[in-house]
Amino acid sequence: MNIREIAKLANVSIATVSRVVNRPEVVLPETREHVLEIMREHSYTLPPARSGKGGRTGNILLLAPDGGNMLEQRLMAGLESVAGPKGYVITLCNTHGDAAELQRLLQFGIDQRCSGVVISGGATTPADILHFAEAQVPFVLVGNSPAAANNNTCYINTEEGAYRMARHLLEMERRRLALLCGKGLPGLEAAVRAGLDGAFREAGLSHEWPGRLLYAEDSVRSGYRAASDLLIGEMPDAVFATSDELALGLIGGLQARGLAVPADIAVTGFSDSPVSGVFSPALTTIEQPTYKLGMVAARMLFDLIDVVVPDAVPQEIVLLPKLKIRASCGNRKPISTLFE
Amino acid sequence: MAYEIDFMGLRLKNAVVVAAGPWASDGASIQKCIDAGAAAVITETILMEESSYYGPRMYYRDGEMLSLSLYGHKSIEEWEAEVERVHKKDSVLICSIRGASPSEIAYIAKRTERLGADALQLDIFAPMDATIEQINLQPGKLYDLTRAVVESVGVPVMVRLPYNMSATSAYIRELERAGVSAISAIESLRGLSGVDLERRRALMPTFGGYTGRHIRPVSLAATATLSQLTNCQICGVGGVENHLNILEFIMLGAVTAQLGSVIMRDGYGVIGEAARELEAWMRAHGCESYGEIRGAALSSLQPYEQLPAVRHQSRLAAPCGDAACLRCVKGCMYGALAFEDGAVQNHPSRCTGCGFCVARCPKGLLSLTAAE
Repeated sequence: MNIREIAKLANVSIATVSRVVNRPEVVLPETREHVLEIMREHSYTLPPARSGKGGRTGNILLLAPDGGNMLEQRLMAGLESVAGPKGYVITLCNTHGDAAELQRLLQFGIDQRCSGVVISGGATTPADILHFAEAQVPFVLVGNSPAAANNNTCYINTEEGAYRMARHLLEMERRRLALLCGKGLPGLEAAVRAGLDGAFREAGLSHEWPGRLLYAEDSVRSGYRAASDLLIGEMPDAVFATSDELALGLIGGLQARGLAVPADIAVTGFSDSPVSGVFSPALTTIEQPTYKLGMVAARMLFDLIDVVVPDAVPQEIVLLPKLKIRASCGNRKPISTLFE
Repeated sequence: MAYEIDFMGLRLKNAVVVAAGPWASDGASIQKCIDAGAAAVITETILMEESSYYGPRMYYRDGEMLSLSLYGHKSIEEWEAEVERVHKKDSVLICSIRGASPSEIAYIAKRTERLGADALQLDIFAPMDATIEQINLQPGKLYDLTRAVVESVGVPVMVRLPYNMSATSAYIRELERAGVSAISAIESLRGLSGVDLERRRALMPTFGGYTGRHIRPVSLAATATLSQLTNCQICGVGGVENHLNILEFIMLGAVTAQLGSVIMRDGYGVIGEAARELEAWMRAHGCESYGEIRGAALSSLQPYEQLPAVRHQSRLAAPCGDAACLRCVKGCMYGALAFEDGAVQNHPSRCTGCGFCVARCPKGLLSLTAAE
C-alpha cells in the first residue's frame, strides 16, 4: 500500500493525504477523519517526511556569477515570493564566475546545513557539482549550462529570444545586423548566434548570420564606448545588444556622435530593464521572465526539500522570453500585443 | 431519474459545467458553484506566475462583457490551500491552466493534479496578455504543448480553442494525436468596447476578452463544426446563459456546456436553475438520457453548396398601413416591398426570397412560400 493507493481509496489527492499527516489543521475535519480511517484500515503510515525544515536552517543559498545584475536580482525576488511564505530566507552570494569560489560556497552550503541551493549561471559544469551532489543538499540549476542534463534545471530559451528579435529586425528591413555581445556570460554568445542564424536562414538570406561581432563588458559604460568601435568600418543598420545596459549605453554613444537612433541605426536590447520603456527612443527588447524563473526554481527546489515525489527523475523547465516591440528598432506603430 | 453524463471518463451528475473565471477564483467561490448544483467547476486559470489585479478590468454594456484579465490571481501554493477546503461532494473539479512552453505547462499540470484536479482545461489561447506565438502558427507546436501535459498527468485533459482553430482540422488532428480527451470552444473573442470620440481615446487601455450572449452564434457554430471534425468530446462555451442554450449545444454535438459570464451578471443562482430546468425539460420530453438528443440537430445542417435551390417569395397576409414602421420596406434591397397609396405593397415578381422582411415584421404579417 502506498500513498497513491491510499489517496485513491479515500477519493482525495495525494497532497491531501500528505497534509493529513503533516499539516492536519488545513484539512477539513471530516476529510481528515476519512483519510485517517482508510489509513488505519490498511495499517498505512506515511513514511517520515522531512516535515518542517528537517533539521536544516531554512536558509536557501542563491549562487550567482554577478549578484549586482538586474536579472539575478529579479530571479532572487521570484525565489523569495515562493520561499518567503514558507518561512525560508534567501541568501545571495556572488561566485564572480570563479570555479574555486563556487566550490567554497557550495561547501559553505553543506557545512551550514542550508535547506537548499540554487546555482545560477550558464557555466556550471558536471565537475563543479560532482562533490556537492553527494552531500544530499537539495539543489536546482538555473541557466542552460553544461551541467543541465541529469540535474533539476530551469532556464529561459535565449536562442528563441534572439531568433525573434532578429526576425523582427529583418521584418523592419534591417539586414546589416551587428551583434554587441556582453563578455563573461558563458553560453550567451552561442545561444544568441544560433538564434540569429535561424532567423537569417528562415528569411532565405544566408545560411548563417553574416554580420559584425563586437564584444564589450556588460555595462552601460562599455556600451557607450562601443559606439566608437562601431563607427570604424562598414556601418550596420541595426545593432543587437545582448543586454539593455549595453543597448542604452550604445544609443547614448551614437547620439553623442551625431547619429540618430533609429533613423540612422536601430539598436535593440535583451533584458527589459525598467528604464528601457521610458528612455527615448523607447528600447525594443526581449523580456526575460527571470522573476517567473525564480518561482520555477523555488518550486523545483521545494519539490526536493519536501520530497513530494520520491525518486523523481530530474526535470528541465524552459521558459519562453517575450518580444517587446517599442521604438528603437524603427517601429512607429503603438504595439499592444506581446508575443511569448 | 438521474441524467448522468460520461465526460472525459468522469461521471457528471448533470450537464452544467461552470467555466473558468472569477466566479471560481478560490475555495469559497468554487464551493458556491458546487452548492448551487454544478456538475463540474473549472477554476480560474492557474499560472506559474499569477497575474496581479489591474483595474478597471471589467467593461459592461447591454449584456456585452469585456474583461482585460481572464487569469487567476492566486499562486499555485495558495490554490493548494484553497482547494483543500472545498467539499467536492458529487461534483468534479477541473483546473484551468496556462503555460507558454511544454515543460512549463507540464509542471503546472502536475502541481494541479496533485492539489486535487479531476481533469485539466488548457487555456492557452486567451485573447489578452501575451500571445503564445508558436502554437498559433504551427500545429506541431500545439501538439508538443498538449502532449507534454497528457504525458505528465493521469487525469483527463481538455483544450479550449478559439473559434478559428475549432474549424481548422490541422490543429484538431494534433490535439487528437496528443491524446486530449475533450475540446472546449470557444475562447472569448478579442475585443475593444469602443472609442471616446471627443477625447480620441479607446475606451479600454488594451484588448479584452469578449463574452456574453452576443458570441453564442459563434460558439454554436464552433460546436457544430467540431462535431464534424473530431471524435473528441466537445464542451460548448461562449454565451451559454441557461438550460435552453445548453440543450442547443448538446443537440449540435456537445457533451456538455459551460456557464460563464452569466454567473457574474445574474448571480450563482443561474447554475442551479439551469440544472433543474434541464432535468425538467428532459423529463417533459420523455428523454431518458442525453445520448438521445446529442447531435440530434446536426443532420439538419448541410454545406452551403448543397442547399436546395428552391426559390421563395414573401407574402403579405393582411394590409398594413403603418407608415411609422416600414421596417420591411427599408430592409428590402430588391424593391419587392414599397409604401404606396398609404399601404405596404408587395411585388412578388421582384422578391428573391431572402426572408429578412419576415424576420423583421413586428406584426408577423409576412411569410415566405415556395415560388411557383
